[in-house]
Amino acid sequence: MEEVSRRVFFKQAGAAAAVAAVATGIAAGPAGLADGVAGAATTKVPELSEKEALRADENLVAQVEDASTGEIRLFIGQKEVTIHDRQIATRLIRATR
Amino acid sequence: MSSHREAPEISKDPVADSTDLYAFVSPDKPNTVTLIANYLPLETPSGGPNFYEFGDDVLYEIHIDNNGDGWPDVTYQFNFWTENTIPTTFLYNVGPIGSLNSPNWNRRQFYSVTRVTGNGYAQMLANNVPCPPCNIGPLSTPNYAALAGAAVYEMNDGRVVFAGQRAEAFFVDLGAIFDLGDLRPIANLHNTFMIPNLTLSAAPGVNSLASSNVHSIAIQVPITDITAGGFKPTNPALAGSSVGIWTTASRQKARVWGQNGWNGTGPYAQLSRLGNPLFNEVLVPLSQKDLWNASPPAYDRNFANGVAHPELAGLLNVLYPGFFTHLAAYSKSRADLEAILLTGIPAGVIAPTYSTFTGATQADMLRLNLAIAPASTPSPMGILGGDVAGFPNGRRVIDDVVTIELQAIAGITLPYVDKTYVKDAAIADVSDGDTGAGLSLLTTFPYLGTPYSGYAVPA
Repeated sequence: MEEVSRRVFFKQAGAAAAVAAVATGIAAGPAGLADGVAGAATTKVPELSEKEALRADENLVAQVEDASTGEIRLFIGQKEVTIHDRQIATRLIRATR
Repeated sequence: MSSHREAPEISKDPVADSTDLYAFVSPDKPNTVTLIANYLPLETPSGGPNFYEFGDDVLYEIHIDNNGDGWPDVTYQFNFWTENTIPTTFLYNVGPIGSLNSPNWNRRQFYSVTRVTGNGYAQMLANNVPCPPCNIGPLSTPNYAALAGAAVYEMNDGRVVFAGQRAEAFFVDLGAIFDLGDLRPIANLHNTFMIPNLTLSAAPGVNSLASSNVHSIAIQVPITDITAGGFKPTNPALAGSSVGIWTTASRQKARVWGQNGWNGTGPYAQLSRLGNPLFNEVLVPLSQKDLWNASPPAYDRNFANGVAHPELAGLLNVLYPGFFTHLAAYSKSRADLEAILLTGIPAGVIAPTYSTFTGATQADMLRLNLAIAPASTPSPMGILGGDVAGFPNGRRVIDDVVTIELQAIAGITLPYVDKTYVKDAAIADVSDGDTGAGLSLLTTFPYLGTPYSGYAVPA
């Protein structure tokens, strides 16, 4: 059970967009300033280009593997990308509380 | 079973559960090799209205290692998709299905075939190939054999493929084997765990899989399609004449339930694997079976102890006290089983020109010597029956792999590698008692027989 509680799966358009923004290197605000992903989504960030945007049939799934290190695994298409970002990991978890 | 429901996780995912793998030089086309991977164990023929089908979200693969390192050099990939053509009906079909494009057939499945080489080069060999329907009954699927025959698809360069329901060809007495090994032919010798007033009598075996179906992916390709450099082996003793074969099923790592099913995302992760029959079933501890299914053959040295010191060999003299004393006293590693299952048998061990050896890398692969011609009078007992073209040189649909492997574990092949070993006298009686008599088989591709009809079974 500890393994399960350590991991958070989510999949929704707003969250996906927020995670995608981090994955492409766009800075999010400092941890603690935003209450969660919904708040982060309102932060002024450049629009995704047409090439970057999720296709209609495309999903992005994020798995917070370890909040203490900010390890997040991102699944999209047939790819898996691992990032380390404690801020976004914290926001993702907070958004679910 | 051969690999039916052999591990805890895959037993809950039947469409991805590999059940049997066959590989043999085609008896009617000896310049080709036939590879058959079966999935979906224990299909009850009448199991409608949602009859059995492949998983659209499962990547099915048949791999060939032709340089002995336990990694694939040639892979055939199969991807399926399904369509409903009559959105208003709850039925699989609304009338007789007389052809693969019958307007009466609601639920259809198609697939693509892609050949991938070790360097990552991928070539799509076929696309939009139709599967036949399941064999439902005389009204729904009249003349089923012709219907399925139309689903045998000829690709370019001499390759042929078929994917769909077939009659189960694996035979085994599960009820006896999993009842603490009370093999019916020698049940009278079993210790019966000293249960009071219980006596077992010797009896013929029972085929627990009789009249059941599976889903098969069968591909027949020129031998040169799977060898290193595309050469045609002619000398069985030559390195490179033998290849290793296994099948896998994989799903994308992340799955999210949507309104109409699962959405898969991310890279494919392997959840089922099968090379030699019964390997994961009998030789890998229950606690490691899921890990084995997710591992490549190249890492099988991690599981080699179960081959060198098989648990079942130690149990035989306990279950049948006094009948396997030589086996019980043997404490050395089982070099015979390591050769048969993990490296292949080097030339000279059994005969100068008999070899399935692929190299020193320990990897569970079904090894096939492509320079050994098909037998004119094949023996279901394979090498134990003096037939060098049968298991463990590949595996044909007739091979009695349960008895061959039971007798091998009981020590019948040990004298090949240890001349000092004397076989126990009871070894010839070690069998589940099934012979495969009455199986539904074909003499041509795809060799597995017409599936049992849901109307006719159970009779």
